[in-house]
Amino acid sequence: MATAIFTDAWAVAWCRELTTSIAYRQAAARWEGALVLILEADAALGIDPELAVFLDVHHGTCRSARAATAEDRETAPYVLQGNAAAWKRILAGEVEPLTALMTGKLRLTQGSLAKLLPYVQAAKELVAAARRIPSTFPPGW
Amino acid sequence: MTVRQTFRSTAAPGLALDTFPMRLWRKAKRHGIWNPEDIDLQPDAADWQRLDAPERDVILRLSTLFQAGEESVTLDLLPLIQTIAEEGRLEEEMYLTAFLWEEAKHVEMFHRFLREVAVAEGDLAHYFTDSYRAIFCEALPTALQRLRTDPSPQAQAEASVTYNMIVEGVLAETGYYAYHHMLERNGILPGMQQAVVHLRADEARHMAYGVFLLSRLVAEHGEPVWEAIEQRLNALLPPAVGVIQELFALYDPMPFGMQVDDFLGYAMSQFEKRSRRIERARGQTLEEVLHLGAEATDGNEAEAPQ
Repeated sequence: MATAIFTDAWAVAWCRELTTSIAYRQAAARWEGALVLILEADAALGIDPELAVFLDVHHGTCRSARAATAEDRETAPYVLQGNAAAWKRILAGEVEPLTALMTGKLRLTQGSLAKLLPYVQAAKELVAAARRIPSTFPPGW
Repeated sequence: MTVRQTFRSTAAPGLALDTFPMRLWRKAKRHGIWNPEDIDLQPDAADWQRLDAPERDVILRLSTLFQAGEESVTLDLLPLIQTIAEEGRLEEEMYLTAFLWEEAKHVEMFHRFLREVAVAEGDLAHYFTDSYRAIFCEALPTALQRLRTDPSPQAQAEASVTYNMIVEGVLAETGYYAYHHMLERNGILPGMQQAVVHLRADEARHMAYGVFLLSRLVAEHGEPVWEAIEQRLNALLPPAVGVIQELFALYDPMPFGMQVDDFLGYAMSQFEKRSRRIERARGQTLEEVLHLGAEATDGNEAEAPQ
């Protein structure tokens, strides 16, 4: 059953995909640090307020996931945010996460870019896992 | 057999003097006149003797990467110049002659450093990492040589992304920024500090041309070119960033207090600015792009201290 993106159920499905992905497990074998990913508010798409998910990723697996709480946003080692247009292209595989970061479409608002960059392949597999989730999108997405 | 039917410069309206390439050409003539032989490297040679082994190694490593990089861009620019010339873009070709001349001077400058200051003998190839080779031995020459048989707009865009956005924009500009910052902060190698100021001014004009070229291609040919740009960035940003990561992974601690964030933060902010300028071309006419103003550049492409 398809789930709406950036919701609690979607985060859980994403977590499940990551845990079963051999490619992700290999690429992220040394990764430490939970992520909060934010889809910025967009009134035209009915996204108001912004939506955010929390992924507790660690050493190639996903330990838990949920709709991000206020505390998650404050304490997560890495917070990345982007607007709907950016996430649409990332989730469609048209733009890689690193390209989105370097071109300012995705912004790292918390955490060290230097620590993220050794995990370019892990980021690709993270997004590839999200693409495998049967998802629904806001009208007009 | 008549090969050429007309001459641009003798027919009305003549050269398009108010276009962006001609502005770059005038800036290059005015501000790009520096001679690598005029840089006094004797103080640098004295400083070199006082550096410890890790300090010498990191400077030698960076200088070697810069030297080979400048050699690569000097060799690989020619197919793009040929392509531009064959399209009859006289003003762009005029600027590109200055561009190539400047790259050649960069080769000479680093060669002087390696021979006269570092007194580096033997093969320095052990300094080239996997990501470096992926870009300078494979991606760059392949993209530019391709233009000999495929001068399509998409091929030109991929070549310019590789050369101007990745090699010059991510690696050279970021590298020279950090290199100069390192030398200046530590008060060493004054000759190379002076040289890098010139290099940075030259490279700023080169990247401004790259922004112009990609913008022109996008304005002229639309989404197929934009998609080619994005796909090329997707492919080359990882190894480009890999060059920086591989450098920092080799030293613990990194000499001179260099921080990887110094490289990355600057690289990202400059890259983002250029990307946005090129993306604006998706909604611009060719005429608007040809007459790009100061907003198309960083403002750094003009002059270096004399």
